[in-house]
This record gives sequence, C-alpha cells and structure tokens, in this order.
Amino acid sequence: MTRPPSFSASAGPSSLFQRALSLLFALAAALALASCGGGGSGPPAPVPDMSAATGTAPPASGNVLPVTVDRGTNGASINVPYVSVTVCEPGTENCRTIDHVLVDTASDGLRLRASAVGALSLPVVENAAGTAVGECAQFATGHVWGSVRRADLRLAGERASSVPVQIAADPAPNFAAVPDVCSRTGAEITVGSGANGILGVGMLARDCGGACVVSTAPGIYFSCVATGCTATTLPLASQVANPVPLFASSNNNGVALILPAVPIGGAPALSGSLVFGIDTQPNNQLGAATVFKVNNLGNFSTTYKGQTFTASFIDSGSNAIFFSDPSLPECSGFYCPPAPLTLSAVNTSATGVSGTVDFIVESLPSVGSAAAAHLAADIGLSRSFDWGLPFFFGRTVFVATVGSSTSQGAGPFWAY
Amino acid sequence: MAALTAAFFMSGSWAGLGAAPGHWPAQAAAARSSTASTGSASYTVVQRQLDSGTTVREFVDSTGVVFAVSWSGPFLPDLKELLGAHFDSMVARGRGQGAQRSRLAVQDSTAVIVSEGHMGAFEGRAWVPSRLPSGFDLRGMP
Repeated sequence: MTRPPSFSASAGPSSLFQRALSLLFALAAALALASCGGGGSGPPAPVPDMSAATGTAPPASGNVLPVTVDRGTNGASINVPYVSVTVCEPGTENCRTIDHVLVDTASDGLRLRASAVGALSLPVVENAAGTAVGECAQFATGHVWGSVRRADLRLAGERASSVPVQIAADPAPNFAAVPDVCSRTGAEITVGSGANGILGVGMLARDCGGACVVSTAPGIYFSCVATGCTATTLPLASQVANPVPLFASSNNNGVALILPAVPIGGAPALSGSLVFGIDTQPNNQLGAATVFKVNNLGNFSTTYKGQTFTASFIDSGSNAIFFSDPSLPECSGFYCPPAPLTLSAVNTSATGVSGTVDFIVESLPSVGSAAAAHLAADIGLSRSFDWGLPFFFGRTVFVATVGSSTSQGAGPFWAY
Repeated sequence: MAALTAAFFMSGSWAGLGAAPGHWPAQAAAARSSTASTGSASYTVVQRQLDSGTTVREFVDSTGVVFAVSWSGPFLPDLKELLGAHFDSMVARGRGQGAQRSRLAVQDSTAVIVSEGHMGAFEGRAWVPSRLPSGFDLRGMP
C-alpha cells in the first residue's frame, strides 16, 4: 500500500526568517480579528453581527480577501462562501479575476471551471515522461475531472507563482474523455453549480501528497494524450497545490475564515473575510482561540446526545451542519423543526482538548430566499459530524496547514 | 423461474452489492475473510486493503449474496465494483447535489448508499435492507 495524504506533521518548520517581512503587512490591522469576537464557543445568537448583512465586502488588501455569501452564479445557492481570485499566465500580466470561487476548508487546491478561465493560456503540467497531466480529484459525492495547469495567483495582496491548479471540463482534446478508473469513483461533479471554482484552503499542502509520488494506486493523476489517459505518478511540486503554503509572504501557514453572526430567519447576504496567515500579523492572532488538533485522517470527534462521531471535520464547503438525529423532523432535505432549536455538541481534539459548541437549527421554509441561514441536515448512519458553514457564523475559524508553525504549536489543527 | 433467475444472477458477471462479491485485482487485495453471526444468521465479512491504502469490506450472506459493503481510507475505491448495480444510483444523486461535496445519501428501490468525508479521508456504507440478517447492527458495521 501507499502512504496516505499525511495529516501528520512531517514537513519541516516554516520559514521563520520570513516573519521579518511581517511588519510590511501591518496595514491590515484595521481588520483585526480581536474585534470580531473570534474564539468563542458560546451560543451563536448573542454574538454581535460584525457586518451590515447586506453590506458590501471591504476591498481586498494585504492578507485579507473579502468573502461574500450570496445566492451564487445560479441564484439558488445557500450557505456558500465565495471569493474572487486573480489568475495570471505565469510570469506575465495577462490576468483574469474570477468571481464566485467557493472557499473550501475541507479540500486542498484551486479548481476552476474552464469557461471561467476563458482565453488565458495556462501551460499544462507534465509528468516525468513529458506527457500532459490530468486529474481526477476526489470528493465524497464524486470526482472533478480536468487538466493540471500552472498559473500565477493573486489573492488580495498575496502572490504565489506557477501554482499547479486544476481546470475542470478542460476542452483540450487530451482531456476530453474521463478515464474509466476515474468514472468508477462516482459522478462527474465539476466545480458544482453556483460557483466558478473551488479554493481549497484545508490542512494539506498538496491534494494527493506522497502516495501519488510513488504509486498510481490512488487514481488521482493521469498522463493524457489524444487517445486517452493512463494513471501516472507525479512529484509533489507538480501536484495541485493549496496556494497558501506557496505564498511569497510569511502569511503562508494557514488561514482564518471570518463570518458575521446570522439572525434567526437568515440573512440575504453576508460579508466576511478570508485572512491569510496565523500569528503572522496583528489581524490573524490566535489569541484565546482553542486549538483542536486532528488525527492522521484530519479528523476530530464530536459527541452529540451521547453518541460520538469519530470522523468529524469543519467544512466551509458544506452548506449545512450535517449530523444524525432521528428525533428531528426532516423536509426538503434539511431538518425542519417547527421552531428554531438551540442544540449542543462537544468537540474533542485528537489530543483530548474539548469544548462545547451551541448551534441553532431552523427550517429551510422559514428562511425564505436567504443566502445564509442556520440549516442542518441528516444523512443517516453517519460517522462524521460535519460542521458546515453555519458553524462559521459569528466565529473566526483558523485552519493551520500540516507542518506549519504557530504560537500554539505546529499544524495541522483547527482553532476557534 | 425464481430459481433460474437466482442462478443466473449468481453466475453471471454481475457482481457487487445485492449480487455476488466483486472482482478485485489479486495484486491489490490482501483479502481476509471472517465469519460472523447475528441472531440465528451467520455471514462472512471479506475485507481487503487496496494498494491505495483504502479498506473495502463485503458482507456476504450464506447464499453468497453481498448484503452490505463499506469502505474507508484516504482515496475512493472502485465504487462501481463495490456497489454493482446500485452504482448508478450514487452517480445520479452525486450529479444532482450542486455544490455539496462532503456527503451523499441515496436510497434506490432496493439499497441505501451513504458516502461521506473529505479529501484524504473518505468512508461509506451501503446495504440492501431486505437482505440484512436479522439482528445485524448497521451502526456497528465496520
């Protein structure tokens, strides 16, 4: 067997010398996290709303990328956080800013819909044999098939050069056919409806890792010619990358996602921030946030009503809090209590640190056409408590990448 | 006629959940079978660790039919082989899920499929409710 993607800290320490650069970015202090009540795990309702719910996001600057929760490109999304990313042909000023890219704390790497990339000419990544590389990126609901190409990325003031990204539904002939091995993992889901891409800023630096360097068994990377694709190994440096660890600045050890509180009944839109770096600037200090280390699969455990879910995670790409409670009524695919409920669960880290989380569940019909609301859902017989976007309401949630260094020790961990 | 259908079902290339165990590449499969029982029914669990590091299990009843399957590990296994005829139900549900990528649950006419997890840690279970041995504990299913 191969080595799995490693959520254990095996990478070297982060570049401490780069911290000297941090003073250059102090301008972002005005958006200091301390003023947004990060770190608390109390009831969500009393947390002050840090934005006018319908307001516009602050402009991107320094290490702060504005996040908007709106109805998406299809006008039908709910609880989906979007950012704009600027993608450039490597080494040039030929760039395009792509809006409505979903921020996903549970995946790694940037995936863009080919139609959103348009006429930009991004060079394809090649394997050791010089053949173009395609990718079958895996998710629980299926796969995203597309090419692997390099782009310079600009996220607020942060820069990463020649980053391998995935181009979904790439029309180039080499990538026209989904390999059989890939199609046998489930549906082709592209980047999802309502979005132009997915920005994976989870705990891993590369979306496959060591397993794909030494083996084709994961079925992630393929060498593709006009007649089809076959599985290939791929060096780490060529694998689709979480852009954050590649930033030229010191803000490269993780992110904080900050969203305002949401009232009962939902909000028509939200404005928040994706802040790059942890403990590198005045606006990304861990402060009193509690650190939850994860196990070797990137998970912690959650206990709810006496049942423990051992494969729990925090996922800004899930549009509800997903957990099993047979006592709650369901409709429209979500729980629909007759009146809003406040429930409680206890998260326990891989090292035994625990904390209570109170959360609200209200019914989809009661929130009308809101873009953000306290929704939860069941899938039945789940092993995970999936803390989806409503968990982020009124919180600052930190994601420290594998091997990174912070004032609270090395990643990977969540902190809130 | 029923017997004839059953015989065809078991001897054809049809495999996976609700049929005969799947065909897994020998080099990828360190198979380990164990016999278990629940109530009065006994069944066999065939567990394989694939080269990808992911574990797949087939729960086989005394007539040789797979009544449940599960998977867990860093990468998705060949779900078409594992789910057999029910794979199409998962594909159809996955296509209709919009931006939601971390979990999927679908019930077709004879089976229930649950898939969950995130990049680097996937797991799932699927079963045929009408074929579960009496007393079989779905929650305790590995």
